This record gives sequence, C-alpha cells and structure tokens, in this order.
Amino acid sequence: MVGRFSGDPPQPRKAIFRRFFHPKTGQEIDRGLLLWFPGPSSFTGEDCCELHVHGGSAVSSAIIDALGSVSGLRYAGPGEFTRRSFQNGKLDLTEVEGIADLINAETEAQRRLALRQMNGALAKLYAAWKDKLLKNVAHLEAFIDFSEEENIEDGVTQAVFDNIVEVQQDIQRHLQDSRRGERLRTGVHLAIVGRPNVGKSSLLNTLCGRPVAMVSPVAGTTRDVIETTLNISGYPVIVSDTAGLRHTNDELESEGVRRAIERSKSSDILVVVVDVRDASVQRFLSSGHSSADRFVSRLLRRLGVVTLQSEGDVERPEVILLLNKDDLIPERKRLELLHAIQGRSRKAFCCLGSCYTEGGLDEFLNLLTTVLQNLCDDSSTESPMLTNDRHRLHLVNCLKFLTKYVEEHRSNDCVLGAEALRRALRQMAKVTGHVTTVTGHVTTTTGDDILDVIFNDFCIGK
Amino acid sequence: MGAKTLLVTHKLDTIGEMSCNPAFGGIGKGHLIKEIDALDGLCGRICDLSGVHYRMLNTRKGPAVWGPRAQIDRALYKKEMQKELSATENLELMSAAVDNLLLGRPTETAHSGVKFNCHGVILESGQTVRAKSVVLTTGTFLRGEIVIGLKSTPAGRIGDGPAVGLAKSLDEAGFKLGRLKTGTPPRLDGKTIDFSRATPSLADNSPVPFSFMNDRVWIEPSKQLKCYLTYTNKAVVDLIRNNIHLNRAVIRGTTGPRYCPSIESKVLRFEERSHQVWLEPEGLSSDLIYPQGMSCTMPEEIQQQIINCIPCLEKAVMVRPGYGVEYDYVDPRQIKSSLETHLIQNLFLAGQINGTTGYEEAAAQGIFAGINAVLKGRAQPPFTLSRTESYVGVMIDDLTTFGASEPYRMFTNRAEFRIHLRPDNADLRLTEKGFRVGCVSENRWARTRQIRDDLDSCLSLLKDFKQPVCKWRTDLDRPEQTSTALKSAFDMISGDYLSVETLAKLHPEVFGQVFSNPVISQRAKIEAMYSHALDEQMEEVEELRRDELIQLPEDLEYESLNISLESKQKLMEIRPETIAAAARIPGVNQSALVVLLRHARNRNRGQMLSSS
Repeated sequence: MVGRFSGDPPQPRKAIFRRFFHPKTGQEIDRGLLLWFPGPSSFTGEDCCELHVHGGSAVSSAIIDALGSVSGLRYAGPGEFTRRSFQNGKLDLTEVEGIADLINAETEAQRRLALRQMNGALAKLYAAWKDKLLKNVAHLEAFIDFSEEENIEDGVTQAVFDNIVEVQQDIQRHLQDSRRGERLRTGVHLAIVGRPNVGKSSLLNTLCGRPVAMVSPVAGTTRDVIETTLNISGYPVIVSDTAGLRHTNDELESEGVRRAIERSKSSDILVVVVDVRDASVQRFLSSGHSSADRFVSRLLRRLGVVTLQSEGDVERPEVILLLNKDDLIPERKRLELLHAIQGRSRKAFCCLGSCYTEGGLDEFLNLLTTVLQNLCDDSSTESPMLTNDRHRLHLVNCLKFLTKYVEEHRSNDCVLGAEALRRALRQMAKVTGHVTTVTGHVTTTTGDDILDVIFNDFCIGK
Repeated sequence: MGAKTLLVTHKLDTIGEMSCNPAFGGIGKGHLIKEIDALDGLCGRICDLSGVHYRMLNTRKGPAVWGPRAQIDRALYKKEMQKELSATENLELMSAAVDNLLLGRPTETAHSGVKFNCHGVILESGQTVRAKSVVLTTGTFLRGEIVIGLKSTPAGRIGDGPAVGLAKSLDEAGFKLGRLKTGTPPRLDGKTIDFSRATPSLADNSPVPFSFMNDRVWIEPSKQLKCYLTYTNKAVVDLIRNNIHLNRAVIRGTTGPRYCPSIESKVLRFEERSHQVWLEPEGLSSDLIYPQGMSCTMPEEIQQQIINCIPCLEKAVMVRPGYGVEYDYVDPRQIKSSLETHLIQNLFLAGQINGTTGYEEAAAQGIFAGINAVLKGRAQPPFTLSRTESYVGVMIDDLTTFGASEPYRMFTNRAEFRIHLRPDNADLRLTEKGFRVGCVSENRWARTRQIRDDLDSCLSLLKDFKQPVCKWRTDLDRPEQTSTALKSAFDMISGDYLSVETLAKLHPEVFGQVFSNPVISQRAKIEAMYSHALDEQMEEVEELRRDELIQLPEDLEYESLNISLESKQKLMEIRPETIAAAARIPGVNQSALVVLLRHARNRNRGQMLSSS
C-alpha cells in the first residue's frame, strides 16, 4: 500500500519528509512526515505506516478522507491495534492495563461524543435509516426462513426492494448534501452578492488583506466572478466576488449578472451586502415589525437570487447579511438599525459594518466563523470531524452493500442479496453505535433484533 | 468412540418416540441434520429409512438456505432407531427412572466455580450407577406439567410421569432453573377428513437423502404420501375469544416460543388473518393426521368444536386433544461450550434442558455432549465447534452466551456466515474433525475423502479450463464480441449464463466424466456460485477465528480484576472460554476485554513454561 503511493519504498523506521496527495483528486493535502515500520518490528507486528501531518481538523479530515477512498483500508475498531498486537505476540505486558485505561477513556469520550451527536436531527435521520434497514432485512430473512411453511405475504421481496432503493437514494443524497468532509478538503464556497456598488469587492479585499479585486465608485466595476482562496479561522474558504445584480442592457455586464446568480446558487455561504442607505433598509426600519428574515428573503428575491429560505431544504446555503457603509450614517441611526436587526431576527445572521473603516468587521468574521463551524463540524468538540468521517465511511460502505443488494436482486439467489443487506445493516449499526461487539469483528447483536421484527410483523407458527 | 455407555430411560419402548410433529428437517433444522450426519450422528440416516414424504424447501432461494425436510412414519422411525441402538457396540440400554445425581467433592485441580463432581446417578429404586461422566437429556420431563384447559397434570408427556426428584437435585446443587412451555396439536382421524377440498402438497419426485452416506432414500418416490393445506376462519376466532377464560396456559403466560405459538395466541395477536393448517400424515400404517399449526391448550370439547369450524374438518373426529407442556430448564449460560456444566464436573446437559426446542436442535446437542462426555472421561481436551464452521457452533455459542429467554430454535438468519455454512458442504466442514476426535467411522471418512477428492479435481478442471470471452459467447450462441479476455469455466458457471449440463455438452472431452456424477456437479456449481461472496467473507471469518483462538482460563478470578462491575458480573456468570465469546456478551466493555487479554496471555505462557 505504502509502496503503491510513495513511489520508492521508504527506509524503515526513518522519518521522511513527504508531500501527501489525495489519491482520487490528485490534490495536495499537506506536507509531513512518513514513517514506515515493516513487520514484525512494529507495535502490532504487522506492517505499519505512520503519517505525521499538521493538526488542524481540515488536514486530518482530508487525510482520513483520502485514506478512506483507498480500497482495502478501513478504520481501526477501538482497541484493534492492541488486539492485533496481542494476537501477533507483540504486546508489552506491563503496558496492557495502561492501554486498557486509555481505550476506556477514548471509548468513553467517543461514547459521550456519539451521544451528543446522536441527540440531533442527524441522529434521528440515521436511526430512521437503521430501523428501515433492519425492518427490511428482517422481512427478507422472514422470507428466507419461513415463507415455505408459513404465510408470509407474496410481494414481500418486492416491497423490500422498493424500500431499499429508497434508503439507497436517501443515503446517496445525504452523502452528496452534507459534504462536510469534501468541504474541508476542497473548501467552503462563499459568494458575495448584492446590488452594484454596495462594496462587495471592498469586502473581498478587506478579507484578503490585499487588493484582489479592482474597486471604484463606478457601479458595475466587477464584471466576472473573481475567486480567491482564503483561510478563515482555520477553514479553507473559496470566496467569489460577483458582479452587482441589476438589470442592464450591457451584454457583458448582463453575462456577469447571470454568472453571479449562478454562483450564488452553488455556494455554501451567501454574503449579501447592502448599502445601509438603501431605501429598502429605510423601509425595514420604519415598518417597525417585519422580521429581518423576511427582509432578507425579499431582498434576495428582488436581486434575482431565488428564495432560499424555504425550511427543510438541505441544499439551502447559509445567508449572512452585511449592512455596509455604516460610517456614512449618523451614529443615532446606526444604533437604531443595530437594535432593529438584533431584535427582529430569529438568529444572528446580520451585522453592521464598514469595509472602508473596517469597523464592525470583527463581528462579521465571528458570524462567518460560526457559520463555517456549522457547515464543517458536527458538534462543538475539539475534533468533531473524526467521528463524522467515520460515519461517512460507514455510510459509504453501507451504500456499497445496498448497491450490491440491488444488483443481486435480479439474480435467483436471494441469499447473496440478503448477505449484502445484512452487511449494509451492520455498517449502519456502526454509525448509530448500536454495536456492542468491540473487538472489531462482526457483530451478532442484530440477530435478535431481526427476529424481534420478524415475530412482530408476521404470524409465524405451526 | 468405543466408550462403554449406558442409556437409562423410563421405558425402553419410547426410545425413538417422536413426541411432537411427525417430521424432521426444514430450513435451519435441515442444516443441523446434515451436520449431525457429518459427525456420524443417527437421525439423518434413520430419516432416510423412515420418511414418507421428502421435500427440499426453499429451492427457489439459493442452495445456502435449501432446507431438506421429510414427513416421517413414527412407527418406522422408532423401529429403525431401536434396531440401530440395539446393534450399537458398547451401548447398554436400561429401563429405569433417574432420580438423583451421585455427587462428590470436585477434584483438586478444579477452579473455585466448580462445586461438585458427578460420579454417576441414583435410580428411583435406590440403586446407584457409577460413571466417569453423565449426560442429562430430560426433554420436557423436568417437573413437567401438562395443561389442557384449566386442568394441569404433572407429566412429561401424555402417559409418562415427570422427573421431579432430578429437578430438585439440580435446584439444590445450585443451578438457576427457568420454566418454558411448548405445545402440541390434537390428533385427528384421517378417515373423517374431507381431503378433496384441501390444497394438496406433493413430495419431491426425486427425494434427496439426508445422509451423505446414502444415494437414495428407502421409499419409491411414487409411493410417497401427500400433505394438505387448509385455513382457519372467523368462527375459530370467535370460539377462542369466547372461551379464553377456560385457558390456563394463556392466563398464566409462561414463556412459550414465538415461532411455535398455540392457535390461541396466534388468533389473539393476528385476529384478522386466517392461519394455515397443514394436515400431515403420521405414517403409512396410521390413519392419524397431525394438524400442524393447531397447537392448542383449550378444554377438550372446545378443541373438537374449533376443529369442526375449519374447512375440510367439519366432520373430523379428534382422537387425542392437543395440550401444552410446561417444564424446567437450566439457564444454559451455566454450561460450557462442551455442554459440561460449570457447577458440576463431568455432568453434561443436552436438549430441551438447555432451553432449546426441536428434534434437530436436541440431536445436535446430544451428539456433541456425547463426544465431550467421552473425551472428559479420558481426560482429553473438549471438542468444540466455532460459529464460523457450523450451525451447531452457532447454537451452542448463542445458548452459552445469551441464554434462552424462549425455547431456542435454529434459523438460518442466526448464522452470520450463512453462505459458508451450507447443507451441501457439512461433510467437508465437519467429518474430518469428527474422524480425528473418534466419532466418525472409518467407512464414512473414506467416503468423505472420496467426495472431497472428486470435488477438488472437478474444481481444478473448471478453474484451469480457460478460453476468451468471445469464444464463450460463440459457444453459447450469444451476440459476438471481440473481447479476448480469458475466463475460466469456473467463472462462467458461477452465474446464471451457463449450466453444468451445457458445459458438459460443449466440452465433453474435458467435463464429460466429472459431470457424470450429479452430486459432484451440483456441489461444484454451488461452490462456484458462492466463491466470490465467500472470498469476501473469509476476512471476517479469519478475524473471528483469531479471537476464538485466544483462550481464557477457566479458573480466572474475575473478582480480582480491575474492570467495571457490570463486566465483572456478566463474566462471572457466563465464564466465556475465549475472547471471541467474551466480546459477544452484552455489557462487557472494551477495556475489560483488554484486561482479559492479559490474563489469557499469562495463562498460555504459564502453560508453556510448565510443559517445557
């Protein structure tokens, strides 16, 4: 494996400086140390390879993702290295108890972490999939074990097939949707949109700390999408500055507008910049009760960026509203406005500031960081990506087995399909943590669950 | 195995009595029979001499889950079984009731969990019988109680008394006992049934024998009997609903099997449905019909009324009412994977006493306990089978790890390596092991070797015969393709494209001879079908096997280990023999397992030192 990816075989037990590339995309992930421990002189007694990379969650996540994309590689189960080490007669006895404590702490932390994650909407989603898989595995198993002698309804296998195809599609969509791992690898897409001359390019330049985009008082200075990659609070962000949105007869500019709108639709984060002196802001202020959310959705509609606020739409980008040029209005008015947005929005997503004086931009960055965290992390723990990537891997594996089931469905032997489905269920059970076997080998605990479903759903009996 | 053996039973005449349904095998159960046969157990061979309706179940679903099943002639089975036993060398039969165990102090090398040593049994007459090891197979007799309606009578089977003294002895020895129930349907007079309105179910035209030793079964295919199918209706539901207050079993609610429920519980749970009733013959010389699906504990007169509500049974006469049996069992978490008890050395338990149900489950434990009783008497290490190699192993591991909260029956879905644990390859999985331990005859081992060699050479022929895809396609009259990639005959027959027969016709010079043996060609085809999936599964099998190799010492002092209280309690109760078994116990956590690893290793090392 190591030889396959590192060219010439590395020298054993020597730290070598290497560049790490993603095997699928070929992108460089990081530079770091590679250590090669050929067996039996390694901790486990088997060939081991260590990659020492930079500690940020983005890098480690990308490395894990890259490793996960290599066939034949998988996550070690808790304690698996110790177990293998033992099996291969390598374990240092004096250290065993210490390792046990360590693993306990580790699994305890993982358990707590899992619990925290499992409280959320994601948990419900995974649990629902697992239940659905379990039910369908059970129905197929009932068909195998009982249909000859009991009255298991005809069509149960077709129903299972239909349900599994649904789960398969759901998981596929989910893996594409919340592409948190990918986001960290390839960057979060952020688009700056707004009417002409509200200060979009100034914002980009301020964020970059250098003049990336040309700025001028003339509306329509930016014609094409200008893209630049930034590190914002440790997250890789690809910022796109876009042409100001307005109707125009200028062919070049209208192409710019079209591209701006397109970009706004494909981004993860939409920063809407509005000039504080804009009439709409005045109307919002004087209306006295209309919410900030409505203000933004109206604004987006008017700008030609489709309504993105419909609830439950997973694809919806996060929106941040920046009311720019607050240095150009009187302090009294500024406070009034600040008060109004804070009081009338469901959650913090608006802020006031000035790209010119850079006042208020700290708050904008705080807001952006929160949004980035939400997009890239699952929880507020120190290394949330790890478990998340783990989920992702199990989901990918689960999907692989579901696909295999779907392929096997056409053949005459439903045992092979059932086998694939049982393995898919095991992968899903690993995501939801309902696996009590801890040494990493196959679990049998779902066996009884399957029987429970069978006896609940069918009248089995002679 | 050459050990001097005494079989003690109440009545010699009930040896080979099938106390419940007149059938053997099925899905999962058939797998067990094949494994019993592979170890040279009797029931498969006896079934080949006594079946009256052989049918392979699940033939539409892939050979891994084919279920050989047969309706058996009760009288023939009993006759053949008794004949076989009386001809068995070193086996003495004795008619007596066993009342107590002959217990003494454990040997000094035994660990602290062992309380007694079993030296034999005490009969009802007061006579003692000494033995190096004892196997208890109490069936439903342990404090057995028969329930019909509101009446309950102490009995192990209709007409046979219960074993009360023995239950007390086990209780006093410190075993945790539980109570289970099972039931049997009424028997009907076949002459009073209108079969013309029921759906007939035909036996297979070419019956497949259970035993690897037989090429055919005893009966002419055309002489086989039919089974019939009818259904319950709304009138049955009403009758049961209106009389449920007369049903002691329903009122008391002892744990019964969910998959073998009484008609009462089926009706109460799935009221809207009509339930299947299979009308099964009890034998060639019997008019009795066994209405499978009608297991019932209602009062006798109501049973007769229920029967007469069912289409085709309007005039049927009930010869004997159905009844429920409640009985004691020993929580099987108190036995080892050799089926020896933790508490009493040299005492082995098998069958319903361990919480199982079914002839096949009992037979599998019987042969297993017998083998280990002999080995123990000779101070040899126990014979064990893993989940990765047999259904027997799956069953014993499930029982000793999880206990039995309801009567345990085998299903194929209990086996995680189902595509490997198939009925067709049970001999290749187990016979050699059995021969090494001494339970398989020379004769059988020779036959298995022959089959193995034939199959191996057939498989190498298939794998070595390669030709380009384009050639295969013209061979098979498929649209031409230019691909010159080589594909073996083995790959080709793994799918649905190419049958063994077609291959033999295409290349008679290569395959004509090997495929003249239908058993070998079918087995080769099955191997090819599953080879890909098997390769994928081998990694998981290997991992589990490696964990199974890590043995835990029997005398491990769990009390002194620095592990969580819950893990400690579970481990002390179950005393797993390997790390693999420990890992499956619910409540035993990862850190406890790592601590266990240390002790496993220490023990092995200690042994190595002492042996060197």
